[in-house]
Amino acid sequence: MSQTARRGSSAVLEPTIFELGVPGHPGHALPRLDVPRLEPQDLFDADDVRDEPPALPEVSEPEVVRHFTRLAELNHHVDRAIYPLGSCTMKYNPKVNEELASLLGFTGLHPDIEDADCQGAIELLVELSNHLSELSGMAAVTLQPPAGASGELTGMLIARAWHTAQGDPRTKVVVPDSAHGTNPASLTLAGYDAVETASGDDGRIDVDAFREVVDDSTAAVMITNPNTLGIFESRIAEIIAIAHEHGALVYLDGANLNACMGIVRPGDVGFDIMHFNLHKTFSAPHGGGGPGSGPVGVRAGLEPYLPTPVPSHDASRPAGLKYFMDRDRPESIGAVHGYYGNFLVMVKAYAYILSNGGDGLRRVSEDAVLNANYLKAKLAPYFDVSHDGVCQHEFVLSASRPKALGARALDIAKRLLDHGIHAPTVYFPLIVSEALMIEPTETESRRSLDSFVEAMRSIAEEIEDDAEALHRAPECTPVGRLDESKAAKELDVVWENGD
Amino acid sequence: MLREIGVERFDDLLEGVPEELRSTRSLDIPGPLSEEEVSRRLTELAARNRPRGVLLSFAGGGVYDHHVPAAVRAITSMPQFYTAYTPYQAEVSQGTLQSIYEFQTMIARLTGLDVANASLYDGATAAAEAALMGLGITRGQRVLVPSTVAPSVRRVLRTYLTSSAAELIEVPSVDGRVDAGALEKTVQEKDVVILQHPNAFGLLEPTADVGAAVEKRGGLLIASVDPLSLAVLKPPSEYGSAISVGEGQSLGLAQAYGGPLLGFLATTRKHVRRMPGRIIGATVDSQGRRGYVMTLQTREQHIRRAKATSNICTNQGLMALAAAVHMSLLGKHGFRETAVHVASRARYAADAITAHDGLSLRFDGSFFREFVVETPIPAAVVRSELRGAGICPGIDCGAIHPTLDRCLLVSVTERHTKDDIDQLAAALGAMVSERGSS
Amino acid sequence: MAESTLLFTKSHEWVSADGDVATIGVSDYAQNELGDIVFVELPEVGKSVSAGDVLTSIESVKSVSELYTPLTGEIVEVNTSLDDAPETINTDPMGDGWILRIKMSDPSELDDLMDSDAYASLTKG
Repeated sequence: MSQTARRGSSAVLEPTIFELGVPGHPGHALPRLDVPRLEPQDLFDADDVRDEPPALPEVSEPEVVRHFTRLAELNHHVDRAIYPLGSCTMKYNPKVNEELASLLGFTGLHPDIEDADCQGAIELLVELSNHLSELSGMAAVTLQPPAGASGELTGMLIARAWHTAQGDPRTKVVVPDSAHGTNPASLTLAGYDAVETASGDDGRIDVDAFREVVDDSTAAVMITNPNTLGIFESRIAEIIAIAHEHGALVYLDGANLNACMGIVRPGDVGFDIMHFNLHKTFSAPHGGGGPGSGPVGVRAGLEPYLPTPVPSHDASRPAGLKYFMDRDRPESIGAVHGYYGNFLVMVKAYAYILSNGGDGLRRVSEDAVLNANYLKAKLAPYFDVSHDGVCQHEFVLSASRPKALGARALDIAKRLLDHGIHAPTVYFPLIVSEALMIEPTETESRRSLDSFVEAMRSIAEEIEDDAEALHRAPECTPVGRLDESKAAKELDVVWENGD
Repeated sequence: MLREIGVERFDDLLEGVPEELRSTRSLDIPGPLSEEEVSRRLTELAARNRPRGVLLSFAGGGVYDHHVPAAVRAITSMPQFYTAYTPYQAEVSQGTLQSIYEFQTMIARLTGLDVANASLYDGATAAAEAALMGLGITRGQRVLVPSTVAPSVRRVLRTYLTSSAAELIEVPSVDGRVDAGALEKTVQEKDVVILQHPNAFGLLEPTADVGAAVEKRGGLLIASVDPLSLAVLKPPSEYGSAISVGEGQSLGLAQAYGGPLLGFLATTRKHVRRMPGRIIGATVDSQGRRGYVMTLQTREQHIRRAKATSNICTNQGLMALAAAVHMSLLGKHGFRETAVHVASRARYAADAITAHDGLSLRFDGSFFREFVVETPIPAAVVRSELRGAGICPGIDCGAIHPTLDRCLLVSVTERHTKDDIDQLAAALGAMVSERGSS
Repeated sequence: MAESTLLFTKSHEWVSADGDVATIGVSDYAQNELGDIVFVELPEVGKSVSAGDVLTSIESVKSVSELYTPLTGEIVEVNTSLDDAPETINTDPMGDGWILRIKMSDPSELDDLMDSDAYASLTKG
């Protein structure tokens, strides 16, 4: 039931908060002031004092709650239905993790109190690092990067520090043409030039082409494995050997770790550095865009470069002080966060790891692979799969044939919204035309997968009958297709009173 | 299911994974634990910390112990918000998109600037991103950073600029504030200048002088600001700042042992295309209804890749929502009241503490919510000993500068009662008189 | 009046030379690939450029394309109407959607460009 108010020329689902309320509303009540009250003019020079307080809303609490509740109702979310977004691992967010991350013993800690007053927090960080180490086969893990992209930057800076210590910082980082956009962006931020290497017809890195591209100016190679097509790089050992022959480090973008836990350990395969995404593989919620967490693991020999401080444990220290933040790291790359990273996200990931245990995590990956292959098999009659053979935890469809009939990947995505299902990732990876990247994750039941298949089947049928109709999609969502050109040309990113 | 896929065993699905790469042993990770057991383990870990309520803490420096109204958590706990994905499919994400648009508006109003983004990781990385943005605008080679900018910000800045050709130049301070005269002599055309206001010592900086100097010399000023201070202090737009950043934790977030936090960045309309991070914009749909989308996406990594304005993808979306809700609940009046209470209590605390012999304010300038107390005993010792009394008296300023290791940065919020503050003052006073100078 | 010739580059720019001043824009093929154009950052008049330099970027909602100059010289005029109406490049790429004018320092560089027929087979093939 959507009630739209008419305002001027545009109907509106929900007014902005600035249009609600009454001028002069006092707002949330503060505790009684039991010390002398001092106004700004008593405390500061007149020149420093603001003339008018900022124009924040003047709304009662019930109105605030109602406003944001109505906004909430406009959102699709994974608690409601499947989000088969490739590369995002939209698995179920366990509610116990939310509860545990709200414990006052975690939320109420200032980061600069004495280490002795946060032994439990530091222990959690040390334990989590150890579990991620064990999972990945990496010697040491930093939890500081607050997102995957930040982890990539951290990894690239570690590579730079290592090469610089060897006497030759080098200039290039090689990435496959199927790489996620953050890869070239992160390596550029770290001061490297991106060099692309081609994928072959089977969707995997073309090893011969790769051999030509890597040379002694290559600092690192960034690889996603399984790759962004959901295909395991079968010749990864060879690829890593070629890189190592030239003295380049090999970085694993761990976004697709959900396919490999307990099955393949990146450290054992030969990767030097990798990042994890706690908000993907380890069930922490996406939050509508964040917060995430992107820990980075390194092989032995690279530990000195990790960001500072390093949560540590030393059994020889006195009781109550065994856990501490080690700030004495002279070769550290520095810091990629003001403090220790997104701690509460780590709490959730830690709880998730314990809930599953080693065998359970392996089971998670197996089920992820199973679900993806099932979905692929069921969808293959209706849409072209980008590459033959088994996939891992995700796969890519191409909407090239529908495009010829008049319905592009974008249109299919929008029509899926009408079926109450979030669209898969579209137009990525770049190497597949009209790509639809699908990752169900292991937490989808067979019934849920079948309903997704049914929706896709019905869309395939609609494309045959009347592809043009998809251009009107979505038609059952709170708003229809939005004019993105207008949004870019007539920039409106801040509400002006009087709009 | 295997049958439907067309294989006999699960291992057939791993045919692309060479045998020799497959793990031969199971993972040595404890579990699986039941929900009850996991809860017990984590509760036990939480119990070995001393959070607010157990420890009376006056630590600040960017993260503060404010009261967060219950309605903030009620809203951010709604699964429609926290289990939602990034709003790439705008038609089913209007809740997220509109609430972030409202957040952007509030940040723009606080800073007095034209536009704001949808958040960055924290105040420190926001400052680093702003420095890179500034260098992109001026095409300069130098970033001037006063020694009064917080050490955590300076560390992250240095890390982000590791490979940049730009030089980081430290600007000296005098009596705890940036030396505006020295700055004016140092600034050159195209320099990016960072100013923290209030600064790492809690002091108000000479913003008008700095702004004038930077403008006169053709530099670009970035102001890293305390968002709550903007309730009562002049916003960065009024002293010539082209970009403003800061740490938004005090806008409705828990202290959370330092994360998740909330970086914000605002700038003038002219520079909007150089902003890092997501930006939400308003538009209309096919029926003419008002709606919101991620806009100017061509700046971002998923389109621009190596040439993106930043590598940021995931940001602090849910925290931006928390801040929007918090600022809505406090409102224009409550936001100002909070600032007045905080400043009043800080002044009271400064007076109560320095009433004791041996304790004095290290610097003379005016301060907003935190101030530096000089003690005859090393700050590290004060902190360590007052633990016994269940008090954290503030941050050891030795971390800001080695010569200040007998100084504490004491921070007060609206949560600290008169009794709390008196307790701190008495404990500090007792310690000093007991130990005298060491 | 000197005759003007319409030439094309492999990167889908068109060049129309009139004496020693060349007008540059993007082809109909290019504007179609880009989609709705929302922004063009026009370079400064007076700027010197060399063949192969990036002149500016043309931004649509979902992509950004670099505009390259095949010619060396000085930018003498830019189409300021594109500031308010960048979509002119979509509606009239070969006419009112022109982007800038360069005073060539080496007109022989025009010899490296292809004519309309050659370009037509490039975009069809």
